[in-house]
Amino acid sequence: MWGDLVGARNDVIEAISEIAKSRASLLAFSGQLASAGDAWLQEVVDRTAGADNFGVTSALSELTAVVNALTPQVGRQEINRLLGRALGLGVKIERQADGASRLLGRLLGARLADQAREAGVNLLVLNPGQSSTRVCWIAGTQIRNRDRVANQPGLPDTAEMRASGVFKLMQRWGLDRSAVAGVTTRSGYLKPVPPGSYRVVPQMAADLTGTRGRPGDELSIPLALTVAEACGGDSGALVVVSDPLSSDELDITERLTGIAGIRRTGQAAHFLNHKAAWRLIASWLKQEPKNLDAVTAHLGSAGSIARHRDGRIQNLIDTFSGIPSPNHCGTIPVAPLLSALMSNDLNVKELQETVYSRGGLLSLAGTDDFRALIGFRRHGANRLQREKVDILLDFFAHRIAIAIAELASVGGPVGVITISGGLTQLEELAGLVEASLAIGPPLVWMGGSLADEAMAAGLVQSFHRPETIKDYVAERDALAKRRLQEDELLDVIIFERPLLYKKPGEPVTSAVELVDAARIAVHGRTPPVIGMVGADNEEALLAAKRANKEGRYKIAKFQLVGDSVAINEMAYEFDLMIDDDNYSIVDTDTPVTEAIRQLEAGRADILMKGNVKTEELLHGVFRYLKKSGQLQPGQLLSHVVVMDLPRMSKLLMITDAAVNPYPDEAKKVQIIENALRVARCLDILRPQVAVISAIEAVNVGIESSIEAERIASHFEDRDDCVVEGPLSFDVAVDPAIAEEKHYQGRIRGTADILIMPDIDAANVLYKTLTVESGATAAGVILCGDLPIVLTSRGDSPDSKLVSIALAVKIFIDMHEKGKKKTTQT
Amino acid sequence: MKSFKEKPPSTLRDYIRFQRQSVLEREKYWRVQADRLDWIDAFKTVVSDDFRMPRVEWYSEGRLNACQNALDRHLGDQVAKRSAIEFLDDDGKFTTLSYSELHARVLRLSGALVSRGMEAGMRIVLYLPNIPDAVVFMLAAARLGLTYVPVPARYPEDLVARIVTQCGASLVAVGGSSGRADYDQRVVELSGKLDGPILVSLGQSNPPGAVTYAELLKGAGKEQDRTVAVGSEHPLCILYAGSTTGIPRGSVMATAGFMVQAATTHEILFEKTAESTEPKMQSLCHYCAVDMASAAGQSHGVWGPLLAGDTLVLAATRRLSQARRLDRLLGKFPKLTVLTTPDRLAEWTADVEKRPLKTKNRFEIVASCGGVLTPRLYTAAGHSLARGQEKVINLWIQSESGATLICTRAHAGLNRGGALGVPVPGVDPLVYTDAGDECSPNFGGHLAFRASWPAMLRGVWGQPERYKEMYFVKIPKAFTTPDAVRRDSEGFFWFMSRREDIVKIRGLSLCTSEVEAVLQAHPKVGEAAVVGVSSPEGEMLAAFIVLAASEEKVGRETIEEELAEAVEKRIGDFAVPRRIYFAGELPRTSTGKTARRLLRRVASGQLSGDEDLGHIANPQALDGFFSPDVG
Repeated sequence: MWGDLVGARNDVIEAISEIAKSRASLLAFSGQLASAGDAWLQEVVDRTAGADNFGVTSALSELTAVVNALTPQVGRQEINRLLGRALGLGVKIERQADGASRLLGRLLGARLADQAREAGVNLLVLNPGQSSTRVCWIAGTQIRNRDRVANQPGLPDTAEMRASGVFKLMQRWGLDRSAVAGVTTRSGYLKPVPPGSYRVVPQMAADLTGTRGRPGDELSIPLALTVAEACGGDSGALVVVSDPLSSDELDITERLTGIAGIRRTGQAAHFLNHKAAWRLIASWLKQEPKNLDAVTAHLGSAGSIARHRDGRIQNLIDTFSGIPSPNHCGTIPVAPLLSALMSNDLNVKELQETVYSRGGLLSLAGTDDFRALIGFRRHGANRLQREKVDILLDFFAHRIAIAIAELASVGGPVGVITISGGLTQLEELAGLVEASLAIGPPLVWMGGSLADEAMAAGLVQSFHRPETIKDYVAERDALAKRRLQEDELLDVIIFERPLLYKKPGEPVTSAVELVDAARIAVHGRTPPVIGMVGADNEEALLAAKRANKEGRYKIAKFQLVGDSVAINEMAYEFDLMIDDDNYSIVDTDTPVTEAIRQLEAGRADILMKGNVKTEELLHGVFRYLKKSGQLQPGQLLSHVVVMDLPRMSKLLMITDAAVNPYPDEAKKVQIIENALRVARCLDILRPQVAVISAIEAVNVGIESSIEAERIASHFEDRDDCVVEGPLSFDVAVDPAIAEEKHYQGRIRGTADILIMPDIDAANVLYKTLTVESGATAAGVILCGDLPIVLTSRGDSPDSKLVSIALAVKIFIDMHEKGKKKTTQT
Repeated sequence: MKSFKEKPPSTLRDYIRFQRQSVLEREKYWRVQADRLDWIDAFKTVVSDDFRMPRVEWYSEGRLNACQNALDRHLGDQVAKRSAIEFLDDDGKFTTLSYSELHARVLRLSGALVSRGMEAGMRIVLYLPNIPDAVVFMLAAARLGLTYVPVPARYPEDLVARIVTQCGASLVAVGGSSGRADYDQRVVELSGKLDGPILVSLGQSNPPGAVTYAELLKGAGKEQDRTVAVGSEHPLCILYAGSTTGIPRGSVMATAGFMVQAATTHEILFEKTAESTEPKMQSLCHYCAVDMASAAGQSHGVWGPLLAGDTLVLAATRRLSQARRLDRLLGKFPKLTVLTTPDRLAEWTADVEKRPLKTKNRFEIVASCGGVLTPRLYTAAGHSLARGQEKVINLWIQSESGATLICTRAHAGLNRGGALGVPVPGVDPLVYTDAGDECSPNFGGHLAFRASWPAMLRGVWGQPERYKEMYFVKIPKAFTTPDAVRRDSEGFFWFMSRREDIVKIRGLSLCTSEVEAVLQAHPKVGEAAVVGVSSPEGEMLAAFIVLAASEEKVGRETIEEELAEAVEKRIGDFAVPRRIYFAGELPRTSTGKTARRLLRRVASGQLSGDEDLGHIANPQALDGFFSPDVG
């Protein structure tokens, strides 16, 4: 035995020392790789500058060889770093050389690229901006020419005006209109669709929305149609859009936000860039794109970061859902935002501007130009301004790095991270981002926007593989339907009423909390069974139904004791499911006797009054309790009503408004004891009991004031409660009045329990409060450990539910306590 | 899987499987059951039905004679000597009729009827108590192809007069053979009301305008036995039920379907086995304690036992105390079953508690029908009248169904106290919401049927439009009943509520569903609910109307008049609702049930402001009822 353990320990020690040894040599090689790698990359850069096709080809094959060598070794920091840089350089070289035909070839795949190259078809990419239109002429797989056509000043900005500029440019290029077989453009914000290439159809123009997207977007489709109409001979040219701005593949989980009514969509302005970057890197790494899980960031004037998984962009963070940008604020902590709104430091209009155009760097530094900021830091800024600029740059770098890491951290390992867009040109900021992302998968800097190349590839593919062109209307409707189905799932109601967490032992302070307390008490045990005595009673049945609304969260099971014919008839109309579990019928013509039989047999735990006379029920219960020894000598049955008053922050209990009409002193002491037991179940730690009279000083003319003092004296030595009397009602429940009257007792407006002089006073108070102040009241009769639910016809439906909850809470508390006692003894 | 020839299994799991199979192969099941009868001409198709029309036809082109099946075919074997009918008269004495004696009596009466000009296709009304002669009349009528119309003995004379007129009867048999005065009185009263049909008095007196039974029989000619082979769909009998007011509603029963299902169900209810039908064994006796004029009395009280060659036991209902009568019956017939009502059962158990039975014998099976058998009555009756509560079975049968469609069976596994039971083989009852969707287990809804069964009614005599209105409108393409039931997860049906009120107006009862059906059928009405409410002048009807979408703008008064006219024409003046409420929609529960209890409260002005409307899906519907003028 010992031998084995010693052997295992020695193995561990040996393994550690071997690792240490190899780490030392690894470290040496790592240093070598880092410095040699940088030198080599610089050399490749120098060599390709101004090189001919042969020079480029040989540099690329060198890069490919190194990438192939590095790929299997991915994981170590210096290898990842070198791989990322080699890939970035490769992309850069392919983009610049030979009309980007190698890059397009990667996007298209070898077979399609060969076919397209051979066919040599002329295609146009039109990219309208605010004041000019960028035009790309693709021949085969090569960008033959690209240029920008400025809008004609003074003329209205229309598709026709821009088209005429495009035609002039084509003339200059020597590109005949009839030779153009296809046109593509930016899509603008359509309705959500899956990514892919779509034939342009009139419905798209109708679906275009101008709220998001770039200026010029609204003209892109009309422009493409106008140009295409004049091109391509008789049949006109093919017009498609690829990976529209409104592409959406967001996973259902990611659609949620922390507010039920607000949902995210997966739309971002940069689907073209994300998909292109991902496909390019996959091609370099010789992987099927759908097997490459990646995070791609496109950070321009706006920005977005996408998580590619299983070939889909399953999650996405953009300037509306996370990262700040030169003029977008990104996410803002809600609480300070809300207080800013509430204190009028910010109004909704300003907030809107901040979100869409005046947030981010513009808001923080007064410029939306990072170059200007960095330039100012170098020349002209004072020390404090320099410090602030440094903080701002760190802030942006951190937000970007955190967003990338956030997306990379969920859903399995990520093979590569790419960053494209304007940020790549800002060395200082890029350096900070990279430093913040020090560890992780290879990071590839892709250079500026890949949109033109991506659009070109989409068009080439559509032209040669028309079967891959998607139908916009069908895809739009299918996605809308799927989202609707998802919404149905997300809209499924779990709890109809908020169920709020409460620390065990804290006092119950409202009717709602009382219901929750009962539900929590029931949680994890079988719900107690309430025997409804005389269940052929509409009110009681509806209360029972409410207590277990649709069986979702049960606080009790119900045994409906009474005439089965009448109960069935009501159950039918009330949609009560008699399932012999939550609701079962006990058929009898003597409900009280039968209910007590059920108690005796342990088949019912609590009784609830239905269609029987209260006295009849109480007599039956009293006999049963005495017989079974559950009632101590002197102990009596009394009624306690727990009130939730709108203007009070805690519950108020009143007793006895129903059972004992004119109790004497001894009975009142027992009534207090019963009320105290209820208070304990509500976790009121040291209940304050006010014995009510008309005045708060003993007056020989007022009988109740004398009695109140005597009753209070019974409890003098008790430290589990405070009993004081006589007190007037206002002094007992209103601290302000107690102070005004200079009342010096211990209960100054803070009473938990009111002991009323007699049934008349108690009942009038109880009814006044429910009728006049809209209080919710829960009534229960306590008989030893047995609670009886007693609701009256005038009670609101809520009151009836709370009454049931109160009885359930009392039962479970007393039952558990009883159990503890037994285990202790 | 058992073949459909065998007796259905007696454990729940096997039975449910057997039942499902029989529903899936409904045609095959009922073809096999048809072998229980002797056919003169074989039928060609088992069933052809379409509830949209509605049209139902069973065993088409078959020809048979019901009386031959119940009597003649037993004469060849030992059954001939067996008692066909045992009758305990008011004096406590038993009269016995063997199968051959019964046969002779039937021949004599049919001869007499022929000589009085009775021919196939005519109707004869039997206003008779449960006496052997009533059976003789039924059998004779069936033998001649006459359609007999049994009328419950408790019906008042003027209602009987209306039934006689409505069905166009050519002969009315009235009274009882034991010569009770009140029956004689009935004959006298009825003879004053009728003009046309021959009135036959089975009492002892000889009132003017009536012939006595003896006189009728004396006129029998010496003719040969005339047995008429009738087609399968020939009306065997017409069963009047439902309201006792207005134009009576008679359900028409087709000969073949009724006979096949009576024979099949008899075996299931009374657990007949091969041994119990052995001639050597003491025959199984069946005490029919329900009125023979009811569907249960016809199907399971009379025809079931006779088709099986069993003994039918009848008893006069007066003089002896309940317990003493039971003592006499159980003492004489050790293997006795009983068909009775819950009310009667409650009387018996109460009486037996006071005066315990002297005999040790108990009923083999107590079958309860025509009311709600509560769990407590089930237990009490099982204890005092049968050997164990599982021997007390519950039948769901109505005049329209012609036979029991749902029942518990006398096996512990197939019986639940208070349950309606499980469906009989070949019948597929379903539970529907008001919206016409099927309910999930334990959820209450309408009992309805998507397909027909052999014994189901073929029409309402002389009122084809009422046939459709009453049964086939509420849920499209389904036969609906006014009963609300639930089906539990085991497959048992439980009765919950009747979706109609029985209202007494001017001393006569009326089902609100009849008025509802008339209103619903009115083209200007989208939806209608009728409830009974009590008012200082007695009970009255209130109708809640949702107009058809196109009729919103029409004056309410004209519509009110039209509706009143429609009800008056179909049912009668007294059935016109005294209050009509118009509303945009009826208050419904979240599952679409009309909240009738709430409507009753609206109509009686008891709706309070703080009503718990938690179960109502559209509480705003209540705002829509504008106060009507009180009529």
